[in-house]
Amino acid sequence: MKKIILIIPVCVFLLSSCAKSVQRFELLSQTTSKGEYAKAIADVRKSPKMYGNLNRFLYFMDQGVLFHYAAAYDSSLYYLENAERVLDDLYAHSITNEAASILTNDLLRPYRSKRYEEVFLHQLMAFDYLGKNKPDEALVESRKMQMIVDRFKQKDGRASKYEDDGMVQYCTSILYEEQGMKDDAAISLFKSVNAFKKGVVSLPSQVENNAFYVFSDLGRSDDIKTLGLSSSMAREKVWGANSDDAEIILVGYAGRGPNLTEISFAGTYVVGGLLAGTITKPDGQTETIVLPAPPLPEPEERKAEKGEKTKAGTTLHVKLAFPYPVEYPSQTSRFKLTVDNAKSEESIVLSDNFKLLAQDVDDNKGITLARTAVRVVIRTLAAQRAKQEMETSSALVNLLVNVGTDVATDQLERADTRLCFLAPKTLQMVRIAVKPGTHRVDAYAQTNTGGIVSTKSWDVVDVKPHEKKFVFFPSIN
Amino acid sequence: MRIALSVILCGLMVFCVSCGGKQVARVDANSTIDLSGEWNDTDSRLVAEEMIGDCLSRPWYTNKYANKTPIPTIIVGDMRNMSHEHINVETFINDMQRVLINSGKVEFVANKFERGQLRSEKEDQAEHASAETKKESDQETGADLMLIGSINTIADQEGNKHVMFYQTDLQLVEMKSHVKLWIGSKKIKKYITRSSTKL
Repeated sequence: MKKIILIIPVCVFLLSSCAKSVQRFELLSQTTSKGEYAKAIADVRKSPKMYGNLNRFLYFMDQGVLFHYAAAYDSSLYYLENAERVLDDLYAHSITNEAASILTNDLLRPYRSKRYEEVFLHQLMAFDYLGKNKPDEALVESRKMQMIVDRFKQKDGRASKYEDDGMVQYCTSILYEEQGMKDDAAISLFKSVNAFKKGVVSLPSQVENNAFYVFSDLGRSDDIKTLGLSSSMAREKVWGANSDDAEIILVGYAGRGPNLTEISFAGTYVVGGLLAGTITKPDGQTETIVLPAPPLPEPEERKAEKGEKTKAGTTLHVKLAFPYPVEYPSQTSRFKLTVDNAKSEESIVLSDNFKLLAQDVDDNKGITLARTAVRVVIRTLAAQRAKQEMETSSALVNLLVNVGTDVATDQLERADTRLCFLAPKTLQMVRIAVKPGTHRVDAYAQTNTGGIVSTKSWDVVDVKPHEKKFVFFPSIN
Repeated sequence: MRIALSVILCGLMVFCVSCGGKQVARVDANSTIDLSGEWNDTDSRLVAEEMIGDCLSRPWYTNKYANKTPIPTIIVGDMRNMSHEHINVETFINDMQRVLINSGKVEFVANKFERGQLRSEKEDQAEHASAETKKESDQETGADLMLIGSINTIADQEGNKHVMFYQTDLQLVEMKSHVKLWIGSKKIKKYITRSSTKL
């Protein structure tokens, strides 16, 4: 029995080493929103303990994302490659970690990333290579992403809805176009439209029209029929309709990314006393309901009168906690790109991280619920056995001992709210066809009413024939 | 009993501490060590040796260049990485150049990036070096042949099993006529499995 009692303080100790995701959010969210990426990077480097050994993926991913925003592509690649390596190392699940998490909570498992985060990691690496003018290496990342989404599709027993990514496939098709690999580009475009149609992000009209004209040109009428495509725009207004064009492509990171918070339900039954229930809502507000409990049965009252051990004052406590996605208001709604103060286009949304996060939480609801239920049952049984061993004839002492045990077990129940919240709310794109040569490029991050949030300019952008020149603009506020 | 338990625990701690340190062992540079299953130095070296060996033993050389003086000059063109991995193409190119030069049958001229550096140095010499030692421009040797190629992969996976098929294709093209004198390819297939659980 003593072994069971020992589990609780050991677990509390283990819990103290878990990532402090709230602290991390407070530290990085504000500076990133203000565009102070160097400060955010310095903060991460000063606080490796905030991540701990179980969150090495987030430690590297956070820095990789921040360096990408700061346009330091070599450094970004260094950290993102490390994040990739962490995921590779975590392919094998540790039996000891899994067992420990069943006794305590999921925060004792190493963070393995969400599906869309793993894909985003490789997409960022592809963008880093494009920032370094290495399209071949960017295509390597695209091929890796294809292997990852293929793996998602193969996984049996986990009927996840996130099995492909429209943005990733669309970016891949652009890279194949640039290399003159038109069939590969068309296949990626097909996958992109398919993924958008099955996914949570709406199919952008530009992508649909691009696919329609590319498939028409290549005689892929079956693809047009299969996807149910139609043209709603004139060819000259469709980005990429002429795949041989040189282009300037803006990738915009808009708004604060989503986060996860905890919702919980805790219920306590005090024998001979009361029934109390507490609900913690996504905004952190709590609501408590207290009801009087039925009186002690007669045999228990007689035991108490004789000074024997009694159930009076003992408690039964249960707590369940689940992750809940939270969206933050963002100033940046879209981007506008202007080339040589003449041509101008507005962005389309290719990815929405809040929708992807909500989908991920939904996809994993069953597993999270099952794990939580098993954990709560094991822990409650252990706590009840521990309380039984410590029962006395005094209701007050019983109550104090039981409440102490309940507080300890209550603290153990935590939802796994870890994620890379530095990813933007939406990822957007603008494409403008240009003649080979040097160009001046201006980009504007705008509110939904057209007000300017921030601007970024490139005085000289050199574009070669057929080149797809990528420029990046983070506006995470 | 408690003493015995304490001794065992202390022993385990000492064992754990001694296991945690970094260990370094020097190994033969030609030895084969496969860790991740990805393209590595052994693949680069073996592919270069086998392909260039094949290239130099084919009729194009004996028929056209074996008795030619000076020996033919080759330049390495684009070597494209079209695989699923970030492969350092430079080491592969260097491995090929080493095998070709050591054969004594051909020689290499600097590639376009190296030529840029050399020309810049010559410009600097023209201004600063003594007349006896400075090297003149317009003395470069034009290549007779160009070696171009690519590394491609086909990946297949199911659960924790993974097959990666690498195909390296090389072509030797005559600069003057654009005639392809030799086409070679080398294939490597790797089967990688990994455990989904650990202690």
